[in-house]
Amino acid sequence: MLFNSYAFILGFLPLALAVFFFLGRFNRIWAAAWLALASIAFYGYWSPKYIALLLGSVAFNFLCGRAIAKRAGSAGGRWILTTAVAANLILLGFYKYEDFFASSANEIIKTQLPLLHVALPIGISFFTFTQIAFLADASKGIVKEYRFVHYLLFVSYFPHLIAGPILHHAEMMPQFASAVPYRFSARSFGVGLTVFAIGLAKKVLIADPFGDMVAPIFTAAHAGVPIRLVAAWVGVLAFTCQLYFDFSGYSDMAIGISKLFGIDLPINFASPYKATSVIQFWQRWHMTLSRFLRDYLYFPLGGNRKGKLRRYVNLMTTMALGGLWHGANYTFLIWGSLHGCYLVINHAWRALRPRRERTSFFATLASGTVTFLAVAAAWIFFRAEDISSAFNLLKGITGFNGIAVRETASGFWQGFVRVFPQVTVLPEGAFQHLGFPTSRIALEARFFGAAVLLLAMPNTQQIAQRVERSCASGGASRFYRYAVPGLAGILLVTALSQMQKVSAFLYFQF
Amino acid sequence: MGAYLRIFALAAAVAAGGLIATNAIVDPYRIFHASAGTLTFQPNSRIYKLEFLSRHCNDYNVYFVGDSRAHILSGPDLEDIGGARFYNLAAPRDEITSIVRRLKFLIDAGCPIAAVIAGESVDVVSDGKDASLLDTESPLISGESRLGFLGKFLFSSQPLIDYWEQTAFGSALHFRYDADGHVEYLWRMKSPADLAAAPCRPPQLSEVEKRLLFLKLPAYRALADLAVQNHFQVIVWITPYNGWKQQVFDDPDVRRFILQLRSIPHLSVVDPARNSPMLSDFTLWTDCAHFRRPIFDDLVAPRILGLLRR
Repeated sequence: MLFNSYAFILGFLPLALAVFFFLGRFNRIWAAAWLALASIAFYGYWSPKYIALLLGSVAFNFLCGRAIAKRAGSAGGRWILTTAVAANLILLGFYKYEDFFASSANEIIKTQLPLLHVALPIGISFFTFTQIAFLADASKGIVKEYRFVHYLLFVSYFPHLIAGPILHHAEMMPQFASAVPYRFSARSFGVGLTVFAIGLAKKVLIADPFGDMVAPIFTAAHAGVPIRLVAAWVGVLAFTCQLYFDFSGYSDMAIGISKLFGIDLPINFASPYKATSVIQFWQRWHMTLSRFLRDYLYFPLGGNRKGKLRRYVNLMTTMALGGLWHGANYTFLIWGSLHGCYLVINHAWRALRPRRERTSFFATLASGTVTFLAVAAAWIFFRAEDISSAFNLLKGITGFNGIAVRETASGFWQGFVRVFPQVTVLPEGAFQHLGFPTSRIALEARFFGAAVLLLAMPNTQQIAQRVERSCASGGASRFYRYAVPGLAGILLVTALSQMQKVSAFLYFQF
Repeated sequence: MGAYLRIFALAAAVAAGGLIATNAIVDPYRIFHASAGTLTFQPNSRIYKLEFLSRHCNDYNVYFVGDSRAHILSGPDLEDIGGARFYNLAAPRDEITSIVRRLKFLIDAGCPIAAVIAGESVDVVSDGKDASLLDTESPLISGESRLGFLGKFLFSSQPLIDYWEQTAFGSALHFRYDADGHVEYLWRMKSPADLAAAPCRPPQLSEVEKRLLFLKLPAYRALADLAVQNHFQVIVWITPYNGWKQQVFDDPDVRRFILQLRSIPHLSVVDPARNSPMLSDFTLWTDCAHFRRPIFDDLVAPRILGLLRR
C-alpha cells in the first residue's frame, strides 16, 4: 500500500488512527499492539510472504539485544554482537547482493556461481540497519527499554518501515512508553495533516511530472541514443528535482502520518540543494542515513581521530559502502565513491582555506552552484541503468554528443543558433519523444517553479515548526494560524485529485 | 488549534467543490457532453464515441476499430463502397477485447453493422489495468458503477490541466477530431533530423507482452462468432510498420500469432506488403509509430476494398 493511494489515505490510515486513539483511552499497550499489528498488515499488503522474515528478524534481534545488554562489555556480549550483526548482514547480503557478487565473481575470477534472482523484500535495508544500530547500542549499555511490543513497533512502525527515516531506538522507545501519543492532540493532528499534505503534493504534483521527463531520456541513453546537450541537462536536472521531491515528499508524509499519531520522527531533509558545500549537503540530505553511516561505520573505522590520510580513507570507505547500500550495482558504488571524493576534496580545501565567518554573496553563490552541479552530475550514476549510459549522459551534459535546440525555441536560443550554426535544430516531436511536456512553457515553468521551491522557500520542517509555534503562542502569526491551514487544505485536495495514476516512491527499491 | 483544523477542512471542502463544479462545466474529456463537432483537444475517445453512437448509430453501418493507428481513417479512405456509412470507433491504445464488448453493446442497442474493419498492431498489448482517465472505458461497457465513474472524472484535475495545456498554451501536439470519429494528427516528421533525434527502433515484446498478444486470439474468435451471428463482415488488417521497425515481424512468436489469426474462420486478414519503399519514406510518417494516410490508401485500402462485400 502506497502512502499516495486512495486505499491508504481513505481506508487504512483513518482506521488505524481511529482504533489507536480508541484503545489508547483504555490501555496504552493495546494501542501500541494495535499499531504494530496495523504496521505488519501494511507490510503484508506489499508482500505477505515476507511477514515471517520481518517478524523473524525482529524476534532474533530483540533476543540478541537483551542477551548483549545483560553481558555488556564482556567478551560474551561482544561475541553475540558480532554474530548478530553478521547474521543481519548475511540476510541483507543474500537478498540484496547475492546476484551482484556472484555475477561479479563469475566475470572477474571466472567462477560458476549460480544467480538466484531472489526478490528483494521491501524495506529490508531499512529494518536491517535500524536493528544493527540497536544491537550496537545494546552492547554499549545505552538501550534503556526492552518491552517487546515497543521494540516490535519501533522496527515495524509503518510510517518509516518501507523507506525510512532510519530510526534510532533512543528517540522512539521513550515516545512509545510515554502517555502523550495515546491521547488525541489537535495540535499534533493539525501539524501532521499539514506536513502530510505538503509531502503528498511534493510527490504527486512535482516529482511524478518530473519523472515523466526523466524516464524517456535515461531509457534512450541506455538504448545507446547519443543524448545531446539540452536534452541531457533537462534529464539530469529533472532527475535532480524528481529524486529530491520524491524522497523528501515520502519523508514528509512519513513524518506527517506519524505526527497524526502524536509520534515525532526525525527529519530527513533540510533544504539540501541550498547547501554551499558537499559536507553541508550530506548534513541536509537523507540525514538519518548520514547519521547512521557516521555513528556505525565512520566512527568505528576511526573517523578523524587517526590522522588526515586515514580520515580520507575512512570517508571514501563510508561513502562507497553507503553507495552500495542503495543497490547492488556498480553505478551506486561509483556514485558513493564520487561523493567520497567530493568530501575528501572538500575537507582538504577547508584544511587549506579555513572557513571565514562571513562570506560574500558571490562566494556563497559560486560555492552553492559548484555544489549543486557536482551533486547533479553524480545523480547520473545514481539513476543510470549502467555505466555506459551514465557516460553517454555525462558526454551529453558536457556537449560531446552535440547540441540541439527545439524548432520553436525563441529568444536566447534563436540567438544561440545564429552564433553557433553547427547547432542542430530539432522539431517538437523529437523532444516529445524524450518525454518533454507538450508545451514549452510547461517545461520552463516546471523548472522555474522547482527552483523557487528549492532555493527560496522554507522547507517543510520549518513550516511545521512555525505552525506549531504560532499556534502554541496563541496568535503570534496570523499567516501561520489562518493562511497556512487554508493553503494546506487546498494542497491536499489538489494532490488527491492528481492521484489517478499511483506511482511508487524511488526509494522503495532500496 | 481546533480553529486550525476547521480552516483546513473548510478550505479542502471548498477546493473539492470547486474542482467538481469546474470539471462538470468544462468537461475536458467530453464525458458528459458527447460532441458531434470538431474538437481541437484530446477527449476520451472511448466514452464520447459510445455516447455519440448511442444516439446516432443508425447513421452508420461500417466501423473502423483499432488503436491510434486506425484512428486516422475515415470514409473517403474507402470511397468506392456504395451504401457504406463509415464511423471511426478506434481509440488510442485500444485492444480487441474492449472492441468486441463495444460492438456487442451496439448490436444490443439495435445499431446496424454491415462490416468491421479492425486494425491490429502486434506491439499494442494491454491487460486493461491502470488505464488513464483518457483511456478509461465507458461504464456502459465496463460495468463500473456510475458513482465511482463520475467521482473519478469529477475529482480529477488532470483532465483540466490537459485541456488547459492544449487549448490555452497551444500545445505542440495538435489533434483535430471530426464528427465521424476520425482524428487528424497535425504534426509529422519533416526531415531526416527528426529521425536522427528520435530514432525508430523495432519494438521488442517482453514475455508478458507476448502472452497478452496471444490473449487477443480468443477475442478475435469472439468477434468472428459475433459477425456470423449478426451477419456482418470482419476484415482485420495488420497495421504497417515503418522501414526501421520491420524487425518486429522477424519474431517467431509474432509470426505465429499472425498465422493463428489468419486461421480463424470468418475473419479476413490483410497483411500489407513489407517491402514497399513508402514504408521508409519519413515524410509519410507522423512519428515512428503512426503512418500517414497515403500509406493506408496505397498499401492497405485496395486489399480491403477487394474483400468488402458490395
